[in-house]
Amino acid sequence: MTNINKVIDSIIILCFGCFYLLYNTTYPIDQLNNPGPGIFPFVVGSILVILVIYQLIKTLKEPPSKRKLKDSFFNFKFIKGLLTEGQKPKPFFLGIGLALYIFIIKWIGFYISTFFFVIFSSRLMGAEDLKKPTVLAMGINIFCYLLFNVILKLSFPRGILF
Amino acid sequence: MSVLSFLLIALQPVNVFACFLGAVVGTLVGVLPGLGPAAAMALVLPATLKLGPTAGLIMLAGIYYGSMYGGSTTSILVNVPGEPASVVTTLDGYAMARKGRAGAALAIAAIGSFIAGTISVIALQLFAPLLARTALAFGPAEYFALTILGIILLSNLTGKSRLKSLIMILIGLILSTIGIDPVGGVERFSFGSVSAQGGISFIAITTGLFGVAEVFSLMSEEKKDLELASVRFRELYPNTEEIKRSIAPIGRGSILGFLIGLLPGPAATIASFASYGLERKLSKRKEEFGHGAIEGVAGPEAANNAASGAAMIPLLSLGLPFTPATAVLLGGMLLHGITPGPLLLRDRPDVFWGVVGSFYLGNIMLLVLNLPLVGIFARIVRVNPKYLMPIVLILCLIGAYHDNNNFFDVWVMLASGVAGYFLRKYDYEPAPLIIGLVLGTIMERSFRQTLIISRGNLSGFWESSLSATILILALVFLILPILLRLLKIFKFGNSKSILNK
Repeated sequence: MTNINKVIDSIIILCFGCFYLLYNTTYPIDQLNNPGPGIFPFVVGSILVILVIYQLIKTLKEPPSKRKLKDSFFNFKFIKGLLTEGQKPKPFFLGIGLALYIFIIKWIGFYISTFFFVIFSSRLMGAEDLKKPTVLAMGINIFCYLLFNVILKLSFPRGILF
Repeated sequence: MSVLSFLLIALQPVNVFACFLGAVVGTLVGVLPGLGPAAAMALVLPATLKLGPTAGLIMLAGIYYGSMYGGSTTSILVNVPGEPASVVTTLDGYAMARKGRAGAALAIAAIGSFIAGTISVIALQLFAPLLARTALAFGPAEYFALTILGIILLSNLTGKSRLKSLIMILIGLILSTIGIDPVGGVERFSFGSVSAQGGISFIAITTGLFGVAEVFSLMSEEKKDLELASVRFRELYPNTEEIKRSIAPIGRGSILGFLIGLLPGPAATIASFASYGLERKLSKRKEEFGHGAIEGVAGPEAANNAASGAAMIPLLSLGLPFTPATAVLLGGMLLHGITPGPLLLRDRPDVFWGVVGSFYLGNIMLLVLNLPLVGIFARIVRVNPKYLMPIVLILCLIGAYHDNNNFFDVWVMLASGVAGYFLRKYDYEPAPLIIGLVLGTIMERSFRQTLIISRGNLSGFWESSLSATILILALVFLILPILLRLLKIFKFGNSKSILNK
């Protein structure tokens, strides 16, 4: 982990902490004998900001790493490497796929969207053909139906068909 | 009738059947993330009315402790904790599975749970009234001191950067402030979202941080061809060394879990984390923790089972449920016309001892059920990730959705998964965040209540001898590592100067 990446992660958390403290000003702290809803978030947020600043200072005092800014988080090559594995898109596209799946469940129902998502994710993770992912998708749907609908009596969102 | 004859009530055929059914349902509920024991017990409550009070309560109790057994299965196999109390098992259990020792981890978890469950039932029988009275001595100041102690003890859980762990705990505490304020009832940090008013779903966060993030991480690792060599039967179970190394952690976990289980709140979860921290501190193989140390599975699994047994003490002897699951059990008792409390033992000894007897029986049943399944479960790990990971993702989604039947929680799961993936890239461990999330509400409530009781006087936090003792302990554990490090530097500096001379 290069220094510049350590600095960036501390800055991100520092921004989060500062935003939290700023938003917390909308809640009253009141008096100590009758503490308001803002007091605990204020204490926790302040400690977080202090610790992160300490971490940031500690990181900046470390000897500079040999890797330069061009290899840091903000470099496109690094981002691409972080999000993909070699030439094949992986975590990024799985994340997009998962988000789409969650979005469409409400419209086309759990079983249909699960069927397509399982095939998509299995292929993304390296399944060579469509046969096994299709069988897997059907198997998961049947298992979910039997276990959750029939035995546990828990329902899934229904869509246009079922 | 003697106590023994009442205990033998549990061996009546209808009660044995009820115990078995409860244990199976409980194990299944524990395996599946999102379906907690409280929800499962509430679902079968109407069915238990047909069985009669003793059998009905035995079945409910079976679900309760069965879920503790089952929660470790998915933690070990696919890094998705089935129950909050099994979160810490993912740290070493999953690492053992990746090394091909899934069977050993599962078996030790089952054996540890059995021993701890049995110990807690014996202790329940012997110490019920006395221990319940001690637990009631804990007021807000004592609880706050305990949460401080917990944070300090558990801030070095994984042995990596303590500062980063503390930062993650604080982020967990921050997340726990989302929703309704526990003292004043004010809505906070929900940004107008109705779904966020109830707070962040614990299940959504854990399935995201551990399950979804793990899938993302696996995808970004270098692909290795899975070796599908056959595994010999005797390699499925723990070897002699693993058993030897597990004995002391199981003993310690049982005692620690039992004591923590007497307190209200998510005691099983806290007990499992506390046990992990303790085992790490005491171990001569600290470097193994996080990479497949058997002690990291044995201790926490024993602790969470012991804690769930201990939670029955305030319920049975005082009629006070300290957890959502025991609250459902209380509801079941009331439906059956049984009033738990100090008079239960006198008025309905058949129910009291029947339920206690079922704990012994249930523990044996769960061990008998789980151990043979270890071989089957261990083979799940060897399924190719391209087929296993979609199943993991679907289970995580189902778990997150069914917690509150709300899509907001599913989005939280996805966001936690993405965050968890980047946190790992930047060497931030997710487990401390869970500690903060679990302790946050208790900490805030006890903090503000102490201030109210002491009328704004900060000395209220250390006024009682119990809270002062706990705070001093916390201070000692905070300063001790720093002092030890300074001592090492001083010794090293001295020996260096002697060498130079």
